[in-house]
Amino acid sequence: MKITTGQAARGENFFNRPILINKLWRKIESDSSIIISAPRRVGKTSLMRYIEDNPKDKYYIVYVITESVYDENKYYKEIVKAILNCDSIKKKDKVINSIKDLAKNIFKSIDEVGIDSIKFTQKIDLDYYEKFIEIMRSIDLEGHKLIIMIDEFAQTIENIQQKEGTTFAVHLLQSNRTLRQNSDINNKFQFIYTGSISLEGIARRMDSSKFINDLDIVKVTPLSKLEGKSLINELLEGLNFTMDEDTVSHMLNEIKWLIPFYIQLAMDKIQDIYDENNSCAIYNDSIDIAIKNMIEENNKFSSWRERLNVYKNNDYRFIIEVLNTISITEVKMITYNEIYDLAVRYNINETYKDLLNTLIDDGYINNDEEEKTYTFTSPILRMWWCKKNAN
Amino acid sequence: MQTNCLGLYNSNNLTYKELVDRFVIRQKEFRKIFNDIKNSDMKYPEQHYIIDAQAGYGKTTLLKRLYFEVKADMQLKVNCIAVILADEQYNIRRLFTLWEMTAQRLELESDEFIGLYAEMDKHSLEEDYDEISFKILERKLNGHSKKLILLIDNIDSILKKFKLSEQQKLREILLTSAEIRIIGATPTVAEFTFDYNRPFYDFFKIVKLEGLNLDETKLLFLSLGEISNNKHMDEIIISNRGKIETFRRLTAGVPRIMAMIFEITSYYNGLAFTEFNILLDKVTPIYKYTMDGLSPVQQEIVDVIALRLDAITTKEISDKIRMQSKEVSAQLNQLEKNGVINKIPINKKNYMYQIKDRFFNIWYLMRFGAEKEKQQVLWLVDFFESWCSKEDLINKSENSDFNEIYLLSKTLLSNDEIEGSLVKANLFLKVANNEDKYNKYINEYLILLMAKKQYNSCIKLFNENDFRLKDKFRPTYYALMYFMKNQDEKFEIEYRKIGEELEETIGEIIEEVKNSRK
Repeated sequence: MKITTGQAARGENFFNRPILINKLWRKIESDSSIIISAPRRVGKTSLMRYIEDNPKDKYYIVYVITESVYDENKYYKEIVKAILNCDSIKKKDKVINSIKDLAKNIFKSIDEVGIDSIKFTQKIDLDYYEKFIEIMRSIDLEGHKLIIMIDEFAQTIENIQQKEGTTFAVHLLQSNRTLRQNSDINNKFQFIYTGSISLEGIARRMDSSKFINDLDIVKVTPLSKLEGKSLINELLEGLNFTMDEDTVSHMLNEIKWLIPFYIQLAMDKIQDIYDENNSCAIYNDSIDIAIKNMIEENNKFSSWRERLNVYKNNDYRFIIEVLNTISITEVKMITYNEIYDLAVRYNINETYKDLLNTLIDDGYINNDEEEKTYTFTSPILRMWWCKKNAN
Repeated sequence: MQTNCLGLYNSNNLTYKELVDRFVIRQKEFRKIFNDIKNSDMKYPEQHYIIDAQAGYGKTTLLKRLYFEVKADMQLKVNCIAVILADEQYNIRRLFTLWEMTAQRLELESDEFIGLYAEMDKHSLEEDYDEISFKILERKLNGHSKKLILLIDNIDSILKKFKLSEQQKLREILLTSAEIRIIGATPTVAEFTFDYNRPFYDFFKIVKLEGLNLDETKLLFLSLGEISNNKHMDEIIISNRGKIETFRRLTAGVPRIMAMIFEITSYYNGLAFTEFNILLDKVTPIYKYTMDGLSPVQQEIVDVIALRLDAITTKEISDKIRMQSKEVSAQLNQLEKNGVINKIPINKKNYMYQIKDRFFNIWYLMRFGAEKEKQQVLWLVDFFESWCSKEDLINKSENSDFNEIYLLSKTLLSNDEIEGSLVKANLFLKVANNEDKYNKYINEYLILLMAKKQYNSCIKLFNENDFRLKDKFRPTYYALMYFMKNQDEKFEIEYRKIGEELEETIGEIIEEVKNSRK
């Protein structure tokens, strides 16, 4: 396994999480459409690609990334194209013939641009939403189910909102829901949505949560300590240095919020230390330096501050004060009562719960429901926040 | 004197052998990236890289070295093909032109790809041409079982010309295609990879090239000595140790400038400060190019910033050029994005600015500064030389009056008779009469004063205008700010003004102060 800090981890670089993967398959098998929900960098795309690379029998998997899509028709066009070009579907002769016939009937204008890809000429202005329905109606999947995984779906919603306005963005949420509820076709496909932006958050902000409330949510949780240890040990197999069990534990304690990205990033910094010093065994002192270097590299964390810029006025001030308070108090947490008091101060006591939930969804803070307290998800994030923002 | 025979400005023109022979620094970074390329099967999309460094740090050379190595490696060349898009790709404005240009380069690299561009061009009027052209490229690579290592110099200048939707499309391609791997290089990495709202946020793995340290500088000099047949390089390095180190610190170890210093050193069989001007002449084309590329308003702003060694606030700039702070701020943001200046926070709202390339700052002061500003640079050079040579203060100064008072003052200070020592200090400063030959003694006294934690007395001496101690002992002054920064915010702000060229020396002074206490 290689250290992976930017690209989705696939193949042998993917850290296998059987519990999470089984959970996702259980949801798929229960016929739900799904949101894979987790803050940025937790490994959502890697998880989707793993499902795509290792499908169960009776499922065809299509992966579409719609980050550069700015209108609804293009969104459905990308999905239609992905279905018609899907490798796993094309491997089955009967299905591919069915698709080719379908495509000819439906589009009547197919060109071959390459050995594989089917493209559509620009002259005909098609309604791809309707074409998607037509394909789904007529396609013979031989008892298979089509799983359409849409990466960066919330980004597409945001693109449309920025370019065409909220009404159009909400329309895409609505039309997706309509498809999911279309009983003529919804036994043939399921959607899995994910992306770097929280879909729940953006739907909430557009007052449109009702259009996604039929979706089942699979939360990608951070790794357990045991999983964290396994990930480090798997990474160490491909590296020239060693870390004993105490050092591994120390590293996990320091990171605390064990998302694969933080672990990979810390290992990358340790690799840098190894490159400098060539010391084959890594101990706690190097871990501390690596984590300090992670925090010093402002860019890795500055997004946590920047992405709050979408909030305005008192919402923004409230959020900053909550985070500042947690980061600087001795106990490193804030109580629910203190938060309520801040909400009153900023005159947002009607709406502050949504803000709090978004902070939790986006991975800033955790809540301890019993104790009614809130803390930063990771000491690293808290240290960075305290150093760069709260002083 | 030889000029540019060492491939200082454009390593793209060097042959394989010339480049490999000259490639002695950046070995660590080269191995890191190359080993990753070599150990990747590219079955799935791989990690893309960006080499981040200012001009002259060796980005282009490193890219070219990688290009040659991928081409030469027996195992890699079976499955991989490398294409390098050198600097100044002015014609790549759209995503599809990137693929067209890549196709044209591939045709030059291997006959297998001949006709690729023409095949793309057939579809140039179609919708989604950027997508189609990439599909054609991808299919061709697939057909020949080749993976593409695409090395792009100044990738930022290409990416920033793309529309946001094209950047998003490129990210989609790089996330999903296993046929292509990008290794880019840029002097302004921050602009497009650190902004959460931009598609390439955190997407690339960044390999940062730092300035050369002392050992790397020696290695560079020895290697260049070998290439230019200078058999005495070893001796030259030993006899000019302090001077070479002075220049390394002054230039923040920029390899391109260190190579120029090598040329001067080699030609004169040594390095004298009369040759400082020759170095300034040699860097003039580079820095003139930087200045000429700025708008008139930006030139005016850079002039104000570059006539100071320390960082300067927006207000100070706007007062000086009589422009509204808001307008100045907008220009400053642009200059920061373009990598001309650094932004240093004072508090949550306000910032200070300084020239990013520190030797550009030195060059500007020496070329366009008044006598007072030039003198600041010369004192700094003098300070570095004295500090780096580590000459003992055994040789007593010729002035016995100075000697007598100085030694008495130091002895008093060593014996914790602070007040008496300070009276004598004022006296020996007067006797020294601003003559530079006493500087190293005075500096040692200032360090001892800090070791005795007499920070406020020390700052009082620095603030005594008659002696211009701050200009003469800039690194020591900032070491004092380090010790005083918790006393008052103004010292903290002052401490943040330091330029990168001083950091190493200030760190050493701080260490020396701490060690003196033991």
